[in-house]
Amino acid sequence: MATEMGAQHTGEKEESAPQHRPSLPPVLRGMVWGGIAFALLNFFVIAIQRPEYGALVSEVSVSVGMGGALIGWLLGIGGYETWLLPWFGRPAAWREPEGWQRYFSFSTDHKVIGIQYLITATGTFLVAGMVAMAMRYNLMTPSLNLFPTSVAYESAVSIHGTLMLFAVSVVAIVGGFGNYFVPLMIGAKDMVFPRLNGISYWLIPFGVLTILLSPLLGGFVTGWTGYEPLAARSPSGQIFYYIGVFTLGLSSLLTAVNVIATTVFLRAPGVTWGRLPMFVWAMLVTSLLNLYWVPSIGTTFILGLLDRLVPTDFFGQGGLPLAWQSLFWLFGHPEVYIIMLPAWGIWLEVLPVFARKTLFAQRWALIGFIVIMLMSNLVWAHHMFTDMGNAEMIPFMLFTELISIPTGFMYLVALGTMWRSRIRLTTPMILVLMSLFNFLIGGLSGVFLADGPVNLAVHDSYFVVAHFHYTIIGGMVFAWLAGMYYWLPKITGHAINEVWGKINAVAIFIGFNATFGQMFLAGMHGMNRRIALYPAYLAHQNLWISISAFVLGAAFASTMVNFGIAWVRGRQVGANPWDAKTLEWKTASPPPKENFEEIPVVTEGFYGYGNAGAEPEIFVPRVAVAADPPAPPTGVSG
Amino acid sequence: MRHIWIFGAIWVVLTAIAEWALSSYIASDPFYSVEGVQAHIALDAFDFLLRLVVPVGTFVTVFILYSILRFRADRSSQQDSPHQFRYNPAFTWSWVGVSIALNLLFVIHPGITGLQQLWASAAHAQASSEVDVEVSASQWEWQFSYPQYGLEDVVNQDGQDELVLPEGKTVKFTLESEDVVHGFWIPALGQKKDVIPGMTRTIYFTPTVADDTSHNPMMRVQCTVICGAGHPYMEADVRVLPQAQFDAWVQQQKKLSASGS
Repeated sequence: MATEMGAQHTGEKEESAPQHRPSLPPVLRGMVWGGIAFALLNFFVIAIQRPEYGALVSEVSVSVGMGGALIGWLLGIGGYETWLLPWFGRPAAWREPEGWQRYFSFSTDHKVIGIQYLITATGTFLVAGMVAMAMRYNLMTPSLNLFPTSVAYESAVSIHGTLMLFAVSVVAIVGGFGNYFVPLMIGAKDMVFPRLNGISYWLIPFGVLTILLSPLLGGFVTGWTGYEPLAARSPSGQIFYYIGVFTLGLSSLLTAVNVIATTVFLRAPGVTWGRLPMFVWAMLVTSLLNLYWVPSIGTTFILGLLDRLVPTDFFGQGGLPLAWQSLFWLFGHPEVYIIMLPAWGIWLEVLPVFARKTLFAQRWALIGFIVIMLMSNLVWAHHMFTDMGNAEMIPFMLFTELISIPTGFMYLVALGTMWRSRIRLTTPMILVLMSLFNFLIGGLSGVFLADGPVNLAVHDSYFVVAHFHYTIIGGMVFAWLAGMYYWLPKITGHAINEVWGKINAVAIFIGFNATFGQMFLAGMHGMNRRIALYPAYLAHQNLWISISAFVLGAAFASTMVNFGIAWVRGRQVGANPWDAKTLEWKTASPPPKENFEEIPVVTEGFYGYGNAGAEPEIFVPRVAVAADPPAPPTGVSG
Repeated sequence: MRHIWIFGAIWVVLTAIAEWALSSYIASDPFYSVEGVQAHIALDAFDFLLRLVVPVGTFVTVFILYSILRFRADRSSQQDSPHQFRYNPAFTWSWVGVSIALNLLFVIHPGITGLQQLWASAAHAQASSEVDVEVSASQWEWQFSYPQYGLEDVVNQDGQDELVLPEGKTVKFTLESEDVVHGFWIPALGQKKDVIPGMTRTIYFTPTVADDTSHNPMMRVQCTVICGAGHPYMEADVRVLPQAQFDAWVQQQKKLSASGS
């Protein structure tokens, strides 16, 4: 990926005053500074605490130390030159490395940051996926085999869930594609706050590593939901859960601020709200949800941490154990939409391109986005039907059923777009169609879970496990893969092997449906969640689920190989290999440093195919946009 | 129009086939083992929903497959579709109308009606107060007491905690936790309730079949909320006995506890 931008760099930045070329590579310096900060603060706290048993760490010292480590890490990675020095009136003297080293350093280029997010999310996905493979290996027989203890297995479940939810599914599309493509799709040169963007990415590896390191302190047994008061009795690895998730949440929050500000302020002339691409709309709505609910979960996690450290007992016997569940799901359910909205954005970008047809009822997709955003916080207690009286279930049953109506609008738009179109069955299109099918199964199984009596029968069983994997893998991960096949040629300038792409897509589809389809049955057969051992009568079903899961794992691995090969030596592609109409395809692949040679002026909507006519019907701008200064419309042409 | 008719015909035929296949699936009992009144309420709701979501599922699936097969571009063609339309009020509003109607229906039936049936089974037990069982959950054990008979923490002959229930009676369970959140679930009886420390909760079961864990492993008490190292082991055997045998069991337990103390 050493592109022509590398050459551009040299010489240009020499003029700015004192250049601090760090004596160590930034990642290494971050680790050293973080390590030193951790050690100093840890031993400082230990010196005050003087634990009677002479230990060198305590939960308090580690928590304080991790706070220091985070600051040391961020300063070391480049925050010292780009954030700290400017605060004291010194010039921001940061020389961004060139070539591949850009990706291992603080960067202010949204395209570098987008790739950093994508690679990190992919790596985390593979690590957490390997953990899942280990879990399935253990579950091939009714007794413990791979994991030595039940606690080890439960820690694996917790790490798998925490990473997949907080570091992959809410990060991959928003952080990766969002950072890379929001500015490109609205015709901007970068995000509004590039330095904020740079720092927000580097929170992710810290959060991921923190969670991965939790076994050092005994792991944690609560699963990704961290239910109290079990969390208070869990091994000390629990504090890494709070700190890790808080850090990851902080990153989502900063990204949300950036995406919202960028979409509001940096749209190129003519990119009116009515013409805004659906993916950007999805990013905007997702970011608004993040802005609302991430502070809520951050606060909840601080309360949870204080319950262990002080201890404050907010959620223990002296407090309200159920309050944790409500606070958790008040974020946890909007999170489902934080995960799915970006995926729908990808559906709605990919479908018109490969159906060669204008978006059908685009306005209804937008109505769906906004109604879902407004309603997503009204349904949280359907995760807690087993905790409430019958009458309390009714409002949440109602809202949960109702929210499937705006969700259905995505299908209305998708199917209407496909009707009488001219479909090109490329890999991204196939994956989007698979995502439509999988999410349909996820949504229809949600109808059962929304129903009070059925929920009480199958809640906390593998039926629920199957349901949410159908929405998150089946919906979001398939859409993410579709996005990779769709946009990687733009990002890398290299085409991906279509034959292998299709083979892998079919293999993933089969492996996925075999694995999680059977889990519905296992749940109804009495298999409960998060158990390392199970009654012998479930052995046959579990063996086949495990075998299917290994097929799925192999198919994912094979997909990654295909991506890697394409990245290194795929066929060169031009600016617009798919013949798409949004702005990111109007510039070179990969895009130059400043994205566009000159800011494009857009004169019509992005979904005008064939004789569809130019202007979309939503929000026709009240004032005609004057191209000022008068520039030739390098933007979209009909 | 031709496409609409062909698609509609395929959808109707496939839905009919799917509903027919569903009948045999439903007859084979999707919940594997249903041996209580409350489980039947849940299963009835499940079967009803299954019948109604299948046409929705086939509609979307057939739509996708039909589009792939009939609207696929020629390999050589790079042209846009000649049919471009942004809106179709009939399709859109029938979509919106059907989805609102279906979802409201699901809330009322089987949602609220199912809950009403659960209430009714509980109200019946409250009126007649047939059998009370106090359940104490702790890491990692279920303990069962029968206050009516003065029996505390009953165990079987191997010294294991055991839940013994009379067939055909509605049993009121009073649930309490000594430490963390647990989940009280008997899969064959089809319901569960979380046990929250500091709170007392109740759940009602009416077993209708004399059965036990050794014959049917779904007739067991299972903790469903992760509760630490012993979570997977946190189960207890259940025996549902005909009334006469249950009475005999109570007498035997009374004798045991008298001799034990």
